[in-house]
Amino acid sequence: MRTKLNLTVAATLLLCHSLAACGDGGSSGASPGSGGASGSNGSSGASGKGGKGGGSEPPLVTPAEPGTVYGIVTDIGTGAGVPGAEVTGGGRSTTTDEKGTFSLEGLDAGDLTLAISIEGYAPAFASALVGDTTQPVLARMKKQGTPQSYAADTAQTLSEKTEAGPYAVIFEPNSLDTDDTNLTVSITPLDPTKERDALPGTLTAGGKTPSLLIPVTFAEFTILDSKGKRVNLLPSATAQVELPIPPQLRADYPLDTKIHCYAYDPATGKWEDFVEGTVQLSTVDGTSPVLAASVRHFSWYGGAPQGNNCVDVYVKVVSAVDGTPLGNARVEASPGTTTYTDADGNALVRSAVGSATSSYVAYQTGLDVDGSLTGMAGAKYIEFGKVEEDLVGLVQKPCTGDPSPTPGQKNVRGSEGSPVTIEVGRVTGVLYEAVAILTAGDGSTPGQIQMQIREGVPGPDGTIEDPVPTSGAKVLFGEVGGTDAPASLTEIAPGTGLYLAAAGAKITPGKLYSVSVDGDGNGSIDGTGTAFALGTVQWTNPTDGDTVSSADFTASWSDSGTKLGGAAYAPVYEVVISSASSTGDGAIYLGTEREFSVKSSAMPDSAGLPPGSYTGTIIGFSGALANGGVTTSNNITGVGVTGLFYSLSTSSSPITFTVN
Amino acid sequence: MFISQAGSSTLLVVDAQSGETAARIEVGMLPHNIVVSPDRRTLYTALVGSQAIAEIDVATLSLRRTLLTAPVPERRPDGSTIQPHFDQGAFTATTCFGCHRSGGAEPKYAGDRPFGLLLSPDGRRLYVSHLRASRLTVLDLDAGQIESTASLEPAGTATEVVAIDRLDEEIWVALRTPQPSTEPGALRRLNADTLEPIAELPIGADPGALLALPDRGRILVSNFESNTVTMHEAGDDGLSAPFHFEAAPGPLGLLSLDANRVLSLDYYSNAVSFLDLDGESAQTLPLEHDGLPYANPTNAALSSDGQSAWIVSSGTDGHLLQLDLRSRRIVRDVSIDGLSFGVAVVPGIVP
Repeated sequence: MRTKLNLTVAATLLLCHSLAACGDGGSSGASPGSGGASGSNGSSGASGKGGKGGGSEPPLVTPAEPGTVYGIVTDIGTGAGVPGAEVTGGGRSTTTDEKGTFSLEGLDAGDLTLAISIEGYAPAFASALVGDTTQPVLARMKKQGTPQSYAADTAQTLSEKTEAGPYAVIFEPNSLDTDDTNLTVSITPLDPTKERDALPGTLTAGGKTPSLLIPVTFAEFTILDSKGKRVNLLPSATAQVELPIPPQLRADYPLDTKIHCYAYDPATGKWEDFVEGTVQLSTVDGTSPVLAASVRHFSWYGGAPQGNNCVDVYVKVVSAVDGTPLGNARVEASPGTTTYTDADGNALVRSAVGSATSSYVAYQTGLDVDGSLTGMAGAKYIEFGKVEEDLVGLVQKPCTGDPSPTPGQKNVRGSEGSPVTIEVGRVTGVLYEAVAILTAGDGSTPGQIQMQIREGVPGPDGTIEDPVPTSGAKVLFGEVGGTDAPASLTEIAPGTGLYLAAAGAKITPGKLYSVSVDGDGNGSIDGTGTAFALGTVQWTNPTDGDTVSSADFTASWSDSGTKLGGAAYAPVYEVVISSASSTGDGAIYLGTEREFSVKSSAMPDSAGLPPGSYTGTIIGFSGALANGGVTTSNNITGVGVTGLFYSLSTSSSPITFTVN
Repeated sequence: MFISQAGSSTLLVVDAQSGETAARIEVGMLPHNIVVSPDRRTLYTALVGSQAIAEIDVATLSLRRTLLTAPVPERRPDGSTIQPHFDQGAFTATTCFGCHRSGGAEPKYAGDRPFGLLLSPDGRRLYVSHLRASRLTVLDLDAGQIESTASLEPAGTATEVVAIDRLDEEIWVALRTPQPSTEPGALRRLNADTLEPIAELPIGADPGALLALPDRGRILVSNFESNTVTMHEAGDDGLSAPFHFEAAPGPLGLLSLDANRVLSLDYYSNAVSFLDLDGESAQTLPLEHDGLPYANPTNAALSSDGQSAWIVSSGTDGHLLQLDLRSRRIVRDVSIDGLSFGVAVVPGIVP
């Protein structure tokens, strides 16, 4: 791994005792014991044995330490390692170090579930298959939602507002297993179209015949008493929860759809308590479609119907350093199955086909035998890589059963003859932050995508301290499911950290695009994200200068993205109607519909707008965009990278109209 | 043993002696409740997601036929025409599973959700309750077609006909409010010949199952959301409060063990409760084996020798558990598909 940090970051790193302690990518070039050789060079004697080639048996990895797991805990929102997290499992416990890494030894062979906790984050869980050699673990944590006070003897609805709608829990009085009335409730939303890697466990209906479950909407509910002790429902009590359907999935799950719901059970490490929930309108805002369900245990909870169509995907994991195939790497398809590569770096995983894109993550542990990679001889490290795309041309099959070869499969990407290659590179302590804006072309002007990347060492809160522009990154973007190969973005000038597509980029309104960020340019993708290209948004009722009746005023607008966008194209629109006078009255809409019944925000009983002159503006956006008053999750996720990828469109100028 | 594996559209047939799989029969979407004919030659399971009943030949362990529980509709609830039904000749189908299935036509789960099953004493009629249509369908099993239907008036907000059983000359049905809800359900007594309502009684929220105890002239209802099992007498007109057992939270399936004991499958508690009918008391037992908890029991069936109960643990990892009734310990764990639901024991089959 080559040195790439600029002087500012390097100076920061020098304050540490060693480069390895700060976790940078400090050495140069491939070397014995580097990631390129781990898992296949047999530096610990496991050479050539490899994994089980897409099976689920314990693989053999370097270093060969029986009953040991070595892992890293990261923040799904920032991509940074999480130091100080308590990791417990298999009768052992430890705490993550300053880089978020940990090691547990002396574990019994077999399936292992790890519970990870630290204040300020929702509880996380990770799994591993303990065997004869050190096993890699990658756990992602999600920062906990805003704490809210709750008096346990009252009926109350608490909610956390996001761009997808409000996540809510509806308490009955005295339903909690505590005498303490001074409680704190945190609702941690998780939109699976952005952050599904933070979901605990494996979303499968297992048993004899595994069947994939497709995550739709999830949240974690933490209730703490005044002493900070976790509180749950009385065994005989229930609560109602409401979880918004992500805009991208709303066409798949219209109102009245029944969705299977599950609660994560830390005791079994499985998703249990299957019941049906129903898609209905939010009782909090009255407009957002939410999955409403009854819960008996507060934990991670959400909706995940069984998958309809799946594809079996061949994956090859190689070192980003020299392209060496890596055996024994853990491969996770999402939504999909988890497996390990064989000695030749090959694996077969099953991936669900749906409105959300699929991602493929690979990681493994390595041992820096001579210290040439990490600066510390004998140091363990984690290598990671990610690919996010929809594969075209693979034969679809039911989602029930184990992945298997597909007779007659054409030689397309993801087939046996053309596997999806995941390059993995060492996870360092450097964090990359990307902000990408996608602008669709409109016939007269070409589209454009620009990304600003900055880097640095994360501070205690996981955000970069003293960020500096990143040069040398590799950034790819492309249409999800499109036939064109992803295109590279180019840094406009060295040291700027600003990357642009080549002139004339074809970016079509309504289409879904992905970006892949390789911050240090070593070949391994650190993080990915997707967003729809917004079309042109225009008022259809009223238009500028119109006069409308207050009594039956329905505002509406058009979006050129709907012409080519599929059912999943569901931007969020924020519509603001304001009185041109000083009355302060008006109306606000936030949602995915392209019309709404306009009611006064100042008058009671859903009255229409008072007569007068008004202005109206529309903003449509897709992806992750910070917007006042709602919780927005970053949608460029991975390890060591975070960011926002969005597309934005506004009506050309505010309209003025009259209400009578 | 026959297990309805709702998550994989199959009935699994397991040899009770060896624990080996004897057959795996694809039947249709979301197989749930199971009933066995009086002569034990035929087994029926409700295909909740295919608007049909699957009829299984016990001797050959094969799907003999499917029977629709309601006609294939021409229109959607909003009145629009379902053109594919015309284009593909769907009106002659005997199940929606031919088209609506994983990877097939949307929606994957079609129809009115047949759920509760009751065979007439002579085994010639099958009564089917529907979750989505407030309707009972009577299937003529000789003719293989719908004999009649009876619409049931809602009981307040309770519109879904969940469970059905027979006590003497009456058919009892349990209605629930669409979920999620904590609104009370209702128990309705119907004339077994005419299906005309006789009386209606309030019950707990989200009733799950009915179990008639003809020798006692009683019927039990598991109230899933209210965490109780209520016991009603024949002729109950709802004027007096029924006795209720405080089952462990989330009672679902009910199994008569002997003249005095009933087993309640306590879904949310990962437990079972032994209900003592004479003593009017309950004892709860967590479902554990070798220190491992088993999740979400749904239903159970008595072994042919009456010494044990076979319990469906319906977590995402499926298990069929043998509970020794004398020691009250789990003595065996047979792996089945996750999200399974019902189980029936048919003695004397040699696969």
